Amino acid sequence: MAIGQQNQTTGDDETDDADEDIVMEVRDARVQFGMSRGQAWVLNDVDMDVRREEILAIVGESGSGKSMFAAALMDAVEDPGHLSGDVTYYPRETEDDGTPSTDQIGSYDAVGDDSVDVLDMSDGELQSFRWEEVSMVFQGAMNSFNPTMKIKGHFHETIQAHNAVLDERMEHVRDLFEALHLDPDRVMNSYPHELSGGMKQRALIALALVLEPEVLVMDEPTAALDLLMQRSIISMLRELRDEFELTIVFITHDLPLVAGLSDRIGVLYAFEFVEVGETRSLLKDAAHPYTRALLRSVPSIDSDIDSMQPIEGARPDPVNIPTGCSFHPRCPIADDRCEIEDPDLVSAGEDHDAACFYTDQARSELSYILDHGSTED
Amino acid sequence: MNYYIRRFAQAIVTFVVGMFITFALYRLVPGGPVEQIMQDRIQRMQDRGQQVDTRQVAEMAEQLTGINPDQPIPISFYEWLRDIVLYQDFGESILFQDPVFDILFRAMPWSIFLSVYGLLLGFTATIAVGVFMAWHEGTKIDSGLTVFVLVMRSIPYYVAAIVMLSVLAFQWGIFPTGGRAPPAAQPGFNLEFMTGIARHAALPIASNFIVGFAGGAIGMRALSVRVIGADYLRSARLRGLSTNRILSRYLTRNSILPIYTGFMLGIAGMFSSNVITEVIFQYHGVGWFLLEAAVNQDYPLVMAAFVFFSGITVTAIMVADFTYGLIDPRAGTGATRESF
Repeated sequence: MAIGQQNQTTGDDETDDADEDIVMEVRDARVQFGMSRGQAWVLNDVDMDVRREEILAIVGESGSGKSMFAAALMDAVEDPGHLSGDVTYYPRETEDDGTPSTDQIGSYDAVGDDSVDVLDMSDGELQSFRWEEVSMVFQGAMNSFNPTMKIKGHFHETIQAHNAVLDERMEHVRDLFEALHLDPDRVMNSYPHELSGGMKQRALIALALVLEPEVLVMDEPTAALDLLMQRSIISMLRELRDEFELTIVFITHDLPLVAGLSDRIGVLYAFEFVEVGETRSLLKDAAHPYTRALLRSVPSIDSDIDSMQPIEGARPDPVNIPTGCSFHPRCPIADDRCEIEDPDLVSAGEDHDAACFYTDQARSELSYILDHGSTED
Repeated sequence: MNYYIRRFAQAIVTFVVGMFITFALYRLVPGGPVEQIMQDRIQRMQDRGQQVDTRQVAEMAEQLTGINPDQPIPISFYEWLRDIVLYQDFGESILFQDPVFDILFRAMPWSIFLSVYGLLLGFTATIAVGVFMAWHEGTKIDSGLTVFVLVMRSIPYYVAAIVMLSVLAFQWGIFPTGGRAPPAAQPGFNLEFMTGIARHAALPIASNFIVGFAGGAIGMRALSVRVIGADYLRSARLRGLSTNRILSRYLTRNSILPIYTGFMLGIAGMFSSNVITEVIFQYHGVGWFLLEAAVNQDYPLVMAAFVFFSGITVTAIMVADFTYGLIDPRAGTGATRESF
């Protein structure tokens, strides 16, 4: 739910929902790149609410704007790109419970009241905000450590850069390592090249959590790992979320991978969300033709090879996004309306929205078979 | 440890083989040292109208050079090497009438002084300019510096040395025109002597600096640009590390790696280019003595200077090999990797 333009229509349910505790709110986020061919829009007026202590999976094919969305959450879009819109962060309320306030970690002051406008921050504020409130695990864990520095050095320099207490933080790191099944002494005194891919990835997660951030953004964290390691990291993430009261935004291209992990899924297509919903409902009864096509293209042991179909056509060009619904050139049920009018996200079930005019038709006409392993757990 | 011993032995073998080739070539060149000295003497005796006793002249030449023409080269090499190793006896200089060892030993500190400062300044500038250009990649600063560096590169150091000498020393009189120290000053720890040394060394060091500088800077820039694109640099920035730390511990540290061995070899190159520098500035270091000796058929001194240069080269490569593991932890110290 939690979708900008739809607030008027679905706003009633939202205000009723007392559990709704939003930690990050993204409104009209847009990333533009000036290219020789013209302006490339790699994130197109995206709205999204991230709820506290949920695991939100962002799924999309390559070049759909996933990484840009991740970067936008911490205002870390690389230089030629320009990010506009609003990203608001709501720190945890201190009287809330016994947990220590997040702004006690280091120098960052969370403006007194609750909301923080991330895009309005000065460089210094941003520097503290990143890692202390929202941190990130990057795509390509293999290269995220300085090859000439021991793992320990990365932790120390990060703690020192944020003026945190070294001993206290390193104590926390030991807990993190334990939760991630890493041997602190061995890993800390190793150089990055001495560790396996899975160990590096887990050490990187620990590094992201060293300052106890509220939100952890993970950009394709398992892409370079083998299946077993992917699975084990996924299960560790759940434990981490429960143990350290984390909110996780998990960016991936692999829909089945997050089926067992996430609470909610947002599907990105052509730089905007086409469907956002509670995991089970979205997987079992996808409302958007793209999501349905995506699910149909996933190989599974149960389904017949013939029922597995690739999505026809090519992904849209960021300089020249189709008018109307961006999926219409590839959509089997598109009609004239889809070519002209851009559908907004509308409710397609409880805690489930889709940006399509013909969700009922999509559900009845486009079939797919779910792999039992992915949801029945 | 085993690796270090083997590497050291390898260096010794390289050194000895190198020396043998130099030794043999010098002997085999048509008109080798003995013959040249003989011809020289015969010419002089004929000019004076004296009776020429070829045999006597030959004996004298043999005595001067310490070469026995009847002895096979490997055996003379063995004896020559044995004298050096056991008695530090490089023979006696024909030109200066002094033991060669003493001459070179006194000249060595001066050459090392020039080279070390030239190298330190050159390498520091190479790294700093290269990283600076990469950090400002694509800007006007970058292209401006590229042009500057290329211009610097295309000026031969000896030309620069002569220009500096004529302008700064002869015309403006800012620096002395040659020599190692002011002749009037008392050698020792006194201000006059120390500043004198510094002033005398300034121009040679400046011209050495040009040798070490520019070429590396463009290469350093390319290496740094690659490191800037690395994931770990982006991650470091987002983790909130200071720019200084990123520049030093991340960028410079990682871009130096491929260039490090080159720097070590640069030490050897620096000593050989010193030959010309020292001659231009009349700076009596090893290089100056080498050229004097070569011109004046001073065979023992030339050979000893060769020993010195080969020694520096082999040592520099060995040190580069031993220390590379400290610079790049991935290299390790195993014999599994290739040396440089």
